[in-house]
Amino acid sequence: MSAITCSHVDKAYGATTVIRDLNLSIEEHEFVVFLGPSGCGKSTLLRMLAGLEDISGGEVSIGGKVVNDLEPGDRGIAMVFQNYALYPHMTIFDNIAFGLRRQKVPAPEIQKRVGAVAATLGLEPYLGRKPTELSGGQQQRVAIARAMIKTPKVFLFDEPLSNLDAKLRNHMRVEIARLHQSLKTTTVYVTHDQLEAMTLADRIVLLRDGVIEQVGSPAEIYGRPGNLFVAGFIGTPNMNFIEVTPARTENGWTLTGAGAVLAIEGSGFHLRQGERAVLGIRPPDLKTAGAAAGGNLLQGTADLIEFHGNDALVTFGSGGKEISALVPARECPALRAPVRYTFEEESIHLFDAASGVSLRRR
Amino acid sequence: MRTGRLIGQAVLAVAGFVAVFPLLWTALNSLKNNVDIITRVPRVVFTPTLANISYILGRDSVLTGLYNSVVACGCAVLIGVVLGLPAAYAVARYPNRWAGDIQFFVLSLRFLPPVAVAIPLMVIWLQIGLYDTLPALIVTYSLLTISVIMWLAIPAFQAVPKEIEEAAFVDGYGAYSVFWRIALPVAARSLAGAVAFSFVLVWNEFLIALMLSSSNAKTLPIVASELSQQGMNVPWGILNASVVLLSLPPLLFLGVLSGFLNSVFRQKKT
Repeated sequence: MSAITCSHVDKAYGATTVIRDLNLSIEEHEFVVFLGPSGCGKSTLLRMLAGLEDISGGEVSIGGKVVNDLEPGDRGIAMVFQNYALYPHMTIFDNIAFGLRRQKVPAPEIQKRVGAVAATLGLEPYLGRKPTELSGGQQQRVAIARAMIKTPKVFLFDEPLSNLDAKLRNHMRVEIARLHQSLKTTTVYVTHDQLEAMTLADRIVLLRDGVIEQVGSPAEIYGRPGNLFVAGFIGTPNMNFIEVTPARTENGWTLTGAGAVLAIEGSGFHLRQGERAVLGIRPPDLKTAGAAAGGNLLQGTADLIEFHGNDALVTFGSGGKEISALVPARECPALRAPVRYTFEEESIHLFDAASGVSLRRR
Repeated sequence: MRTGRLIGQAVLAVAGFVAVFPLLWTALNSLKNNVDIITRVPRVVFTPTLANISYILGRDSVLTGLYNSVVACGCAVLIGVVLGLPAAYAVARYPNRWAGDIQFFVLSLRFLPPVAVAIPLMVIWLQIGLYDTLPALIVTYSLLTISVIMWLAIPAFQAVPKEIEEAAFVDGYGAYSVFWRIALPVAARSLAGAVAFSFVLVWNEFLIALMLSSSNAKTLPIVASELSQQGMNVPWGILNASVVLLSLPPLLFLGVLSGFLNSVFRQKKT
């Protein structure tokens, strides 16, 4: 039985539709990340699961029970908010215990459970303090403790790390991953940070304009993006896109575009003679080619070099098109030097130019 | 930098003196005999007397006025709190089509000159037969306190982060519990200011009280003003004493309120 099911879910504010006919099912114990640019409806969807937004159409069920008309408190969920949303007038202990008091849990048991959760998250020294006396990371830990203590069926995280500084964010990300490993509670996590999504998720749900663009494991989303939007959104530095015209040859296909003619075998793709396509190739998949090397080459003059430490991002123009290659720093060319890069056929992506859909054979 | 600071402090000191001196002088004058008050050269050193204060406290009209003021203002503020705060919360958190109009209507009660409100009210109370009674005054003052408290409390409730209330909903609490346990305590500081302001407003109210009372329901400001109309000589000492009496309750009220707030918000030392 799946933990959460959304069928034909819509959300509209007046005439504006934010989420359109969304279908999704989340398995028990799964860690699902809603990822997408701001305004894509990911937070709205999460708030609909939580019961903080009305569901305009369709059905949401949690643990096999339709929850459309249930109050947030009756849905078996716990939520962690972006700005922590701790009760400022209560001590940390009372913040964590607030939900249990509602459930009329006897005081000694509250004491015991708060103690246990506080021990897990290292909050024991702070139980008597007020939220404003804690740092951002500690406050977020209290928010997680407050969610954990109710032993919910589902954890909902709404961009929980975006108010923290970069170092703390990494640290808390690891903590959340550990927590999920030990508790195994079904988790839905909203973020716009693809690194968080890639590292935490069992499955990523990539949203744009209230529509699911692709659902899949991080490896699937990265390795086999279903369309141009997904390919462009996932991966840093961004994937290179080159418009090409495919043409059949004796033993495969040629792709002509950006001042290059590339020969591929092409059996992995639904290519059609003369029908324009977009070739996608990730910067790390471009390899420096020796002066004598043949095969598929993208070449030009290096006109921007960004040093990353281990690697360097080389941007060069080829046939009027900017292309980037991520190469090991020791192979980094001089500025304005001619550069030649080659690639393996396995690493390329092809999309239909008109619809943007991947041409990869399933 | 340093001179700028000095000038700033000097300006502050002058402003503070201008604000506080009349009050101090009034308090001093309430302890003087009339002879010491009407001299050409103001006297700082004089033989103090409690005659003015005992005269004031000995008069039935003053005590009745004090009682009327305390009851009328206390009840009006209480009604303002009981009705105004939930109303403000509803407008702030559950705005509907009319929320804007409600806010404007509430404010518009304060646009009107008091006379425009007082004359029709006087007629109404006369017709009902409640003219010159405390209930009439309480109801009338409640109109003022409700509108002032609502007007000041709406932004106070709006300033409470919405996520905090949502977290409480997720914790299983209903709308009323969220109001009691989250919104009220979190906004308490600003709300207390609103309540105190509404109290001071009705305590000092003169015109409406003057029109709605003839003998039984006179409030302290009315009684105090009447003291100046007795006899040929203006009894300055007695007037000053009545002003002191008039100023004490709001000061006490504010003091108690701020003390209460301090104790609520003092950070816990662990």
